[in-house]
Amino acid sequence: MRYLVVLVALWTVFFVQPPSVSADNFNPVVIYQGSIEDNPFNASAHKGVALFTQKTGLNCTETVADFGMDNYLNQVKKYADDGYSPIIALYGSHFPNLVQFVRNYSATRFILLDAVYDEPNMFSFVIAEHEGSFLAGALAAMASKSKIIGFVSVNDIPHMRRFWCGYVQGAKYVDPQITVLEGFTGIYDGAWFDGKATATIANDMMDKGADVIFQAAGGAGPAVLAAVAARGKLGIGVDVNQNGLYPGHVLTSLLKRTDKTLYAALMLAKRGIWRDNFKRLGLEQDVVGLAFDEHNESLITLEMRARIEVIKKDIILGLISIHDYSDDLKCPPHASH
Amino acid sequence: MQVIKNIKFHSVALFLFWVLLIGLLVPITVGMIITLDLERTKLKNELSVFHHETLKTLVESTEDAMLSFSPDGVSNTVRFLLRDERIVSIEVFSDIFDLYLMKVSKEIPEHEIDSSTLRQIVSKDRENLGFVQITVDNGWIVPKLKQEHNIIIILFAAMFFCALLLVIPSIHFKILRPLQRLKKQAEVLSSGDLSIVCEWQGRDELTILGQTLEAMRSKLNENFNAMKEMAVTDDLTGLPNRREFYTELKILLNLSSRYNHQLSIAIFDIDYFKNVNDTYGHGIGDEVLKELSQLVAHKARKTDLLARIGGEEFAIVLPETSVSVAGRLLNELRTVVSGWSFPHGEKLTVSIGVTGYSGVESIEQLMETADKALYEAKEQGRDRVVIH
Repeated sequence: MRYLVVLVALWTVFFVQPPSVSADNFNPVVIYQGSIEDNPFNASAHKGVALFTQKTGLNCTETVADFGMDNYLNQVKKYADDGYSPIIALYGSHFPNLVQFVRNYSATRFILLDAVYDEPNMFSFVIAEHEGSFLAGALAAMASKSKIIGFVSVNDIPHMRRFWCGYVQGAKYVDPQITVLEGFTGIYDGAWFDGKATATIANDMMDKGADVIFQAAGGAGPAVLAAVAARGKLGIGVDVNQNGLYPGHVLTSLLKRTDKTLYAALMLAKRGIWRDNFKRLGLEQDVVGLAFDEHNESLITLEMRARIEVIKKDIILGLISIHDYSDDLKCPPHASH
Repeated sequence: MQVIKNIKFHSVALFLFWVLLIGLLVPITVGMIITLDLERTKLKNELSVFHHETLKTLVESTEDAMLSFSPDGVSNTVRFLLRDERIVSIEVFSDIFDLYLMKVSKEIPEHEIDSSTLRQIVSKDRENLGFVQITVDNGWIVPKLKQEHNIIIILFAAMFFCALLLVIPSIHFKILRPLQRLKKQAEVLSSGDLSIVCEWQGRDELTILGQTLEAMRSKLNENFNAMKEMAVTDDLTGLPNRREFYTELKILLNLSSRYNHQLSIAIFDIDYFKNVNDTYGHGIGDEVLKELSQLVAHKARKTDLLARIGGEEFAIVLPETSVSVAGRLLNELRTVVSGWSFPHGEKLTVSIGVTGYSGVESIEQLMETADKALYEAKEQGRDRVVIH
């Protein structure tokens, strides 16, 4: 009888365990914060998930957490407990405590954007926003007449400083004498959707003479573009193509193809291939880049366009090296040539 | 006549020039065009081979990176390949992840470049992994071709000038110069001056032609001289004939009257010469005439002009000689003749009429006076000298 129990137990282990380890336990969840529609970044991620679902026919759970880090982590914990894997946490850089957390769920795979941790069950996608920001800064410097440009963001955290630092380097690359103003609204619940605060900073910058302002402010960004357009200056959009929001007043948009990243992430998880613990996506993958379309055609001369293409090529080929702020939390005073 | 000749001659040189130019230029130009075309084709093939090989290399090195989506695995290869000036852009696209692993372009939107693109689908185990695309700059061959172009043009120009350097002197020395000389030679001949010699040395056709012309001239000259000689000389005695006598006399009279020098003129005649002919025959008569003329020529001074002006009638002009001196000289002559033994074995006498030139008489008057003197000498009994 005892043997029988052992035998049954072994049988159970033999037949039940393998399926749970195999790729069949692909049960992904993407956790957003705030709102999907109101944040272009979230909307872009959602687009990638939708494409994946449509192409593969596989289901992918999407959920929206309330504002606040705790709420978000609670959601992650809930889905991890429920056996979901991989869990895609979109704002990796916002959660410093994540490492301790994922160690408790060694059987679950976590996919992060924008942050790299050396954990066996964590995989990251790093988007080279600083390279795209460099191009945005270079174009802003070319377009600026007052030689004063601005940068508006929300949380003053290394991840947003990365945008800022790339932007500054790009601007200085084109014009070493240029002045780059900066402004962060701060860290508080709903800050990423607080358009009033970002618009105030933008107006303040324009009072100081800025005529091109780059916003890396998620849901609080369009307000900056509106404020800039209202005063006849130029803005630069982020994440998705925002050129059409105020045609003629949006110089360009820093495209960040989160949708493509999400699609690739889900596909990698589905196929179960993880060669490196992080994948870097940048200009050469067309995951970041500037948007040129009919809305900003009149703002950009052929020479500006050609110069941007040359800079882009030089960055890809390593002829221009751009310092990544998140490497050492420093931004060089003068952009390297 | 002269002008036409010149035109004809120049047309030969001109014709040769054009033939040379066209004959050299046409094949050299055609050769140059063909060489250039071959060079272009060669460069194009080189580019095409490079394009395909690069694509193959890239496909081989990207398969793994496509499966695992590792942009870093591709980027080193791509960066290395992009160092080549011929490659304009490279795209490595993963179908599985719907994402470029690498997308780099050196193309600048400002200027369009002539490029060609090759794309290859990468697949493994019948699964479509993605594609690899390489664009190369067709314009790459332009500066290369330009360089080759210059070298080829210089080469062919050198060939052309070397050929000219060889051909022009040989045409000049072997054809045009001899032709020019022949032309001159013919002109001299046609002008009637047969005494100018034109020497030719060599063995080619034109030289032979020149030599033939020269031989012709030399023969003509000989014949002409002989004919001239015949026209002025008495056949039998070798003395000047009546015509030559009058030509020469005219000159002597002119000189005499211009310098106011004396001149005497005499006509003499063999007495009873008809008897000699009748008795001994014309052959002996001719011999007698020959003998007499030689005798008189021998006795006469070098400056005296002796001529046979009739059957047995002779005339002698003595320049720088007064009538009295002439009378004495002629008397000596008469004595010598009368003492001479002639071929038929008998002696002969001559009658001589002399007159002096005062500088105003005409030839006819002079001759008439001399003739009258001769007549008087005959009347007075022959074998004597009568001075008028």
